[in-house]
Amino acid sequence: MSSSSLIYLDYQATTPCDPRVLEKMMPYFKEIYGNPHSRNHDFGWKAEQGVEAARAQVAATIGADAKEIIFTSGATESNNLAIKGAAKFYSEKRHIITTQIEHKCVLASCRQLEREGWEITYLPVGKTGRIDLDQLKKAMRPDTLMVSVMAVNNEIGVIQPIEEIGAMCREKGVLFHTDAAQAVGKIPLDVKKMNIDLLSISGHKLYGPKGIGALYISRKPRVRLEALIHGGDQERGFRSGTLPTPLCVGLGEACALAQQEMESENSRIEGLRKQFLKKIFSSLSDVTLNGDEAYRIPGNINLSFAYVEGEGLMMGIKDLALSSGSACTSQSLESSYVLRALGVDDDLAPTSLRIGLGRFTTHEEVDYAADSICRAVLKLREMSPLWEMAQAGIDLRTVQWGQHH
Amino acid sequence: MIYLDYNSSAPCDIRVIHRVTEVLKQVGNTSSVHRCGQLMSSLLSQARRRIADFLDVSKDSLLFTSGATESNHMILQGIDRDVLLISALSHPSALEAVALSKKVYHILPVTEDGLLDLDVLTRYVTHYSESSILLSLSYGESETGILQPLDAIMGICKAADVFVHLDASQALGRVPLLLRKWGVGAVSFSGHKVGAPQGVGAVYIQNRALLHRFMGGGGQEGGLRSGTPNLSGIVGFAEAMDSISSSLWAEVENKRNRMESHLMEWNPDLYIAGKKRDRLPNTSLMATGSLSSHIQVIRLDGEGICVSAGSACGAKKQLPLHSLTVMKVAQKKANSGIRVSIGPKTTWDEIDFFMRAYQRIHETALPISKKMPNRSKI
Repeated sequence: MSSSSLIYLDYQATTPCDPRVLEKMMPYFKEIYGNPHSRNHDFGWKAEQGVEAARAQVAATIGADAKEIIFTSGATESNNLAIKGAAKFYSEKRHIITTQIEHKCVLASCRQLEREGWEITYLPVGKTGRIDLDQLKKAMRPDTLMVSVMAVNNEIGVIQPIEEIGAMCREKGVLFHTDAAQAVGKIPLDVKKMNIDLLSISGHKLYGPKGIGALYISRKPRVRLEALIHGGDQERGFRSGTLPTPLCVGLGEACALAQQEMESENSRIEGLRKQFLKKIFSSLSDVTLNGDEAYRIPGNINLSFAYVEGEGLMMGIKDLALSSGSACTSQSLESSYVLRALGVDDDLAPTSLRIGLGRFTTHEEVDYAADSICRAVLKLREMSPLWEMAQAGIDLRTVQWGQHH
Repeated sequence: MIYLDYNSSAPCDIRVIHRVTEVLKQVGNTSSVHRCGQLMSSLLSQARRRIADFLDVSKDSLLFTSGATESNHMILQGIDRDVLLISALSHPSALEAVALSKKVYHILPVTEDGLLDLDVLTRYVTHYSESSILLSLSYGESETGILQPLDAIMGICKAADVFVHLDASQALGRVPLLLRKWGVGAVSFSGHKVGAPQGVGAVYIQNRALLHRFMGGGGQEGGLRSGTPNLSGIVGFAEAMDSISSSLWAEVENKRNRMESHLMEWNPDLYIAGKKRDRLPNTSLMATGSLSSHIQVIRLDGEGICVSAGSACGAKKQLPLHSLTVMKVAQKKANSGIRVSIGPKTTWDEIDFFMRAYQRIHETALPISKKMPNRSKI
């Protein structure tokens, strides 16, 4: 089974590694194979220089100082470290605020703290997927340690009011962590202006390699964490283990490219999204775009198709590589908790598609994908008794279904 | 450049690099259900099978991590045992993980040969006979290469139902690992010490139910270690395992032994840690007692030779070397230790070049310490 005939539309699950990134990494696989912590010899030295240049590139992308960046194995580790590490260090404050639509690794970290006696508030989101700032304000208590709100959601691409949340947290003396795995390189981020104390970055969501991520830890004001992984005193004691030099270099280059090209890339992808949606909405009725229309990254489209059956839809578009939920959850058949938090009907959630566009998506691919989806939906609806009833003006909600199948 | 620092990081074979690059060029998340995702998860599963086959363990007992440090933490912080015993001759990451575990723990002393003191072990095991116990050992310690006498240790541990963890980061591929025969409970592995790229490691866990989740999230690696796996690194790890051959390492051992004999002829007082005991075939921790480790390392670097003053992870720390301290080597000698660690690609010419430089540095060292002004040349 080859994947070459597939059209890749799953840029929120992972992005291809940019060839320019790969090229930067190559010498560190081939020639400079020292351990960057072997400070006394030449190979170790060159490896360390590569790592430090990369650290500066990552920092520049979010307006931080290089000293404020530590490398991790990915956003899951960054999020675990930021949330559990801060909670354990400042253990006198026992309350954390987050949202119902965070990535699973943020929710899992919060649940673990809950089991250990911390109190967590999971803020709901409205139909748009954005949090209500008044609700956030009301949720803050004297013992609130931290607010953790993702900058961009992985399923619906919705952008949260990060700057406003940061200002609110700073005023109340509460730490602000944001999972920016989907945001870095997609929206402008400035940790100083936005008063962000902790920010998580993923390599493979921004055209870098898998197996690398970073955590920004503010030095002014100084934020402290209890390390999850200790031992060699690498990464200022926040995270031990030999740094993977080629991967660090790859993440740095990916950040630099994303920053240079963000504006032009966003406008190109925005064009693709418009082209796609125009095709869909001109051929199909009863389609809803999940999540806010204006506050979202250009590369994300999340649509629910009424009166079709989810599995059938996926079967009908087998040559499109896209997800019907977050990649991390799509192997389980439960409907997406993000869509549920938005109030999307339980019948509609399974018929939702996340179409992720990105750096290497072309006009032709977008046209082809939109046509395939329209064709599949129309065909399924033709066979659907529900669609027929709806067309006849019957409100399906009022129908009393029989017991037999 | 002559690279004699394999224990800090082994170079990647060109074949491994090719494979890693191929995987880096492919797109897909192992958790996605579409074909791109399936292709990636089949690569993951093949790599897991290849490494499990090499170790002769079941595929399900092998979990991937970001490296041996994480593996040590995952096991030592997450194991379902009340009391943790750890050999003093362990990697800092294992010692720190034990300290972070918030459990009762004891650091067990080693003999001057670096071997676990079995009497002390027996005493602790008896003392805690009412509790569940874990014993953590470095099998192939990174600075000295010392291998613990597992048959004797396992005898004591099996009788008392002690769970044994090995940090085999340096041993993998270099000496036989008979995990099932020994009956160890968990093992930590490192990818980049066997020629895989940095950023990948593994955990062998005989019974998964004994391990608590280390990082929560998407539920990868059987729910025990979440996060999108470093697929290119994992595939590179499997590829590197394929090129391991015992005959190559026998040759490595020959070269190492020849080097040690030559140097002993030059200086019969040369101290070599654990020389009379079982060691990794490639490691030699030597100390003359006359010149500090740092000066030697810097001077050798000036001659184009990479060696280390002990574990790279402790490179920022002050001397003496951790291993020599716990083996109670006299301070002056311990302050002069350097670690030479070679690999299958190391040639005899390179070793010869190193030996000449090592001797020269020591022979010219004596007058320098008398004539202080010359120090500025260093």
